Amino acid sequence: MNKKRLTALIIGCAIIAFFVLMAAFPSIFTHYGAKEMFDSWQSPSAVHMLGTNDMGYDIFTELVYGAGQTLLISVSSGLIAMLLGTVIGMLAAMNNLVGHIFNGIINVFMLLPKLVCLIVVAAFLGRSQIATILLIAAFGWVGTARAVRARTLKIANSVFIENCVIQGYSKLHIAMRHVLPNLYDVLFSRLVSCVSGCVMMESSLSFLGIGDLYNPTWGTMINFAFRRGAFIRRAYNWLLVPAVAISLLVLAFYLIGLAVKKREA
Amino acid sequence: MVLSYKSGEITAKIKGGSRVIVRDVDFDIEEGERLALIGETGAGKTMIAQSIMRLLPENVRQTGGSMVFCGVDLSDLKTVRKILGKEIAYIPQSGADCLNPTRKVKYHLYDSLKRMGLKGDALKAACIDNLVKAGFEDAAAILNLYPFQLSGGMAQRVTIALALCSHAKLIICDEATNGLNYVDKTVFVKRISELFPSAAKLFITHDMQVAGACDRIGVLCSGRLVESGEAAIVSTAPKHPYTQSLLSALAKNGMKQTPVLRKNEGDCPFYPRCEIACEECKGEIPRIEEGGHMRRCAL
Amino acid sequence: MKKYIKNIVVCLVCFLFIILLNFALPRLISGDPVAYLTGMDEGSMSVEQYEFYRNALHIDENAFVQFGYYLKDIFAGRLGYSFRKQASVAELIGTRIGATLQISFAAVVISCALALVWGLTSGSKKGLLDKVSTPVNVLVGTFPTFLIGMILIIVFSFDFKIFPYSGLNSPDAEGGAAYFFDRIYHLILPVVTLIAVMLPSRFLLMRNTVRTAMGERYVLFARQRGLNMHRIRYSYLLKNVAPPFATMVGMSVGASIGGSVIVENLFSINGMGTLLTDAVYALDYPLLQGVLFVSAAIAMVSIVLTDIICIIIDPKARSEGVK
Repeated sequence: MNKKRLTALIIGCAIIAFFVLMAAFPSIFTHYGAKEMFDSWQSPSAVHMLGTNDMGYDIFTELVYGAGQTLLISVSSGLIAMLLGTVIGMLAAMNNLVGHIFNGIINVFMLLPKLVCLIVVAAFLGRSQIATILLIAAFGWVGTARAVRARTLKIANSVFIENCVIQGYSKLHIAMRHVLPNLYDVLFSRLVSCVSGCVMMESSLSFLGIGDLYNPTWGTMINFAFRRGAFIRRAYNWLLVPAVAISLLVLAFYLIGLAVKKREA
Repeated sequence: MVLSYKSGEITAKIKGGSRVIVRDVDFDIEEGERLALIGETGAGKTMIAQSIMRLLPENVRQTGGSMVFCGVDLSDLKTVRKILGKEIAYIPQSGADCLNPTRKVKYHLYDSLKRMGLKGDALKAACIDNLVKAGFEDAAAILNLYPFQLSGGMAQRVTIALALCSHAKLIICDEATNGLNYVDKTVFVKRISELFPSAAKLFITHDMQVAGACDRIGVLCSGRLVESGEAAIVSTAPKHPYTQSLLSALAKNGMKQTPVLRKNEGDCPFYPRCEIACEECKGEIPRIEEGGHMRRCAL
Repeated sequence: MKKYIKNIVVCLVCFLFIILLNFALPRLISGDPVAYLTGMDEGSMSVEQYEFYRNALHIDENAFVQFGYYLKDIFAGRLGYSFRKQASVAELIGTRIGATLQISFAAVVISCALALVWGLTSGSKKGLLDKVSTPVNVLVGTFPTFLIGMILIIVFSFDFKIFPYSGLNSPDAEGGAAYFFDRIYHLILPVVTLIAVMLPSRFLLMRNTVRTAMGERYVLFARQRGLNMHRIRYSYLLKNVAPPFATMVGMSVGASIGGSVIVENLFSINGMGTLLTDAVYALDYPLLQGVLFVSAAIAMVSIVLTDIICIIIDPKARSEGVK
């Protein structure tokens, strides 16, 4: 692995590790509770690293706890989306009616105006975490499905699959035992873009105020900041820091994907 | 002297190192002369053509060569760009691939003619003129066709017409006869000779019939020039073992490599496959020149 | 030709899907369909009112009959009635959609045009431009929409005080030319935000397409004929890159409507996007469905239009390749 890739990989992993640590062991980073109230609207200082918000909560603490929320929702929806995308992608690669139907489904979902749909369905489904996770997954599987379908088609044309068919293996067996293991490199590169896509979707949704408002994710923090007058007060510590954190997370995923990407043959 | 070419070393950087594709291929072409470069696929012939036009691919470098075209040194890129299409013309192997699929034939011709400075009515007239010269009977109909509507032969005649747009002093035909049958191949050489009488013509081919229809032949083996001389002699009674085996192999559609007989040692590119190789062939190979004929062989 | 026809069919199916979704959601989700469809819950209505709505919305009849009434309403242009705002959904959207379209279309047109020229130049040269453009675009592509918007507001509205940060017009703008320029003045930052969000992915798509096309034989042949790069770029590459470009533009419109939701919220602009977010807070379901319908319609129409344009400009599609 050459130096450029290694640096990208290290930086990416470091950022993600940092955030995961924040999520798993918040007490290392901050002694304050997430809902502990101090004087409101304090600017960053030695006592409150990022200052406090309008309710007096320490912003850095909110950030730390928000990391867990953000990662939880993004990563779980990302994983579910990957699963969904893989299954649908493999089904869509089949050479019969089922394949055509699923291929059509992929194309239809690709054309939907994603954010608007997300918002509307979210309004109907309510504010629970599970609903949000499932919803984001329901719109995030498309890219993965397309990549999986393309790769499955390529694999299906290779000789050893022909051999499997001749040997009489069932389709399910061929899919699970022979096709799937060859999809790993596609899956891994898609994992990265899928999860970062879910991060973006989650942050857009929560910025608009949709989602669990009691356990704020980074996007929700920005929503609060915006709605409660942080702009007027120039409280950039509240407004911008969560947004930068989101950016860093997406960047980290991108760097890892860059480092691991197989050079095109 | 239209083209005086010394290849130097042409090296390609590939995965895991670099490979010398062409080495020390030197030849000259006079006005009106037809030189055929013959060799197997992969011998580096196209690289030589690209190097003349300074259009080598990204990962290929040429060192130590010199190319002089009508007194002009081709090492300056800007000069070459000015010359290409005006004084050097190129006829590719497969016309259909080389034409822009979204543009009609007439726009291709317009582009090349505009390069020569023609405009307006003169442009349109020259367009039709060149198509007729290239062998089209109904030139006006061809003008409005798209490349995917042309057959292989028609596409090739379009590329000939494009070459006619220029006042080329050097024509490079890169395996342009692939896909034509035997009679058409020699007809092609004749037609090019008629259409560009005073130009120096470089025919790149792997077909001995085509080479035999030219004035002189240069034989390439793995990027080295192993024999060169008058076409009549080289194509009927060659003096180098490689050329001899070329002749004896049925040279119809590209040639398969003759079997490898021994490990590669020394300087001679044909050493692994030569049937009459001996101990002397492992060392320095002398260059024997006698009366307009050159060969590189120790025997 | 077949490829494009297939695309158009998929588009229509997609739209049908949205219509079905709009129909199914309030009726299948747990909860009272009447509540979903009127936006008010049982407690705040009297018994007669409730019965009235129940009948008017045909809740008791079977699904097909309901769907029939639903389709009839759509074709008549009746998108529903928002009880919270006491106005028909169509009316509400009608007043606000202008603002959204101004922002979205401007952003789509400018970002796609920029992406085309930039991507074409960057993909066909191997110089400094490409080495700088590609990483910059990748980086900006990781920024969420609101981050870009907020940075722009902070820099240009607060610190430099060049551009306004809210609304579409100053309160004291008079009619005529002054009003027009005032509108443009207010539109600049929102549109620039949306452009900054959409440009990176379009640029990268164009650049990669052009890069691949540069390796094609006809480009090499054009260079062998001595044609200069400018001609190659705009006469040869452009026409070959045009179909994927047109498709990209079509898909951009759908994305820009989504982006506009965020931008409108950020800049306090009264467009369809803020209508949507207000409806979410107020749980005004009919309004939500109406906005979804209109957004989907706009997106689908633009995709179909660009597909038709593709058919027109692609010579292969037109003639079916017969000699």
